Amino acid sequence: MIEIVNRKRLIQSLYEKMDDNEMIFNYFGVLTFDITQFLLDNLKVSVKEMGINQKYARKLYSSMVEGMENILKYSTSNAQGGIVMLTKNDDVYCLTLGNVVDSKQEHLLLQNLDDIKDESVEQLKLLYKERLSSTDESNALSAQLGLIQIAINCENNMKYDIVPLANREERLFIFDIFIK
Amino acid sequence: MRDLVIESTQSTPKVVFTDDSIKIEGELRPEFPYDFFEPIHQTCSSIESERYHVICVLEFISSSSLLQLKKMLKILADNKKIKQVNVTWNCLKEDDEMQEIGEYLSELSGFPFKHGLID
Repeated sequence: MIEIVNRKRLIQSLYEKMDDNEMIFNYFGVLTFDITQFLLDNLKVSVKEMGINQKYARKLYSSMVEGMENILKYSTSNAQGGIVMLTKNDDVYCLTLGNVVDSKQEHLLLQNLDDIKDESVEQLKLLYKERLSSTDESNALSAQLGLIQIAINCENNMKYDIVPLANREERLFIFDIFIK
Repeated sequence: MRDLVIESTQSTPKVVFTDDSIKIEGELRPEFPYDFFEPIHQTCSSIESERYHVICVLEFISSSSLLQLKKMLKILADNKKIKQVNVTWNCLKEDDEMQEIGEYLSELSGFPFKHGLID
């Protein structure tokens, strides 16, 4: 009975928070390539229904593709869950991505993000071009083209954090991408 | 050269090889870019025409697929039977990102690119 009451509270609290934050969609659960397809279809419908202009839509779509591809690549093998949430506050869209990472993945992600966080869009474009030129397809992961593309899409308006999870060694990587 | 037609899916483009051209049309973001491009790369290395035309009409390309597309152009450049490769790069008029990607590939491959915009 306690569990049911808590579940009601959880749903109520989630609904209130979703309402306050102009939630466009929110997904929490197992993330596979087929599910990423479903979420991208969802984005296309939302973009059409909300009349979001093409430039925003393109940036959101590209960030979602690259971000979810990163989740599929970086999640720990025993935790294939992910979070994909799109909200809107004033005129800013926020795409939040979350996944569980181990310490090795955490280190690599933070290093790659720290490397680009202070770059201007022009510098990011140059870096993208450089990495595209110097990387062959066998070490695509190390090139981090996807992360650089996301940084270009949001003009480097992004926040990221790693938070602990109760009773687990792995931690939760939370990535907010603001597109305006 | 063997004929090759790959039908499109939600995440992959339609690919049609003829003796003197390849047309890639649609979204390019396969789950496994290497696997998707493997038959394309193999076919590119067996082309025997002196002139070859690459036509890309892409709505979207993921970064990991872009590396495979770059490799495809490299294979065409390394194919000694081909003397000239021309690329037509078509994308939506408002899609600056795809236009830039076309410019990057043009610089990297050294092939003449004809850039077209679709309404």
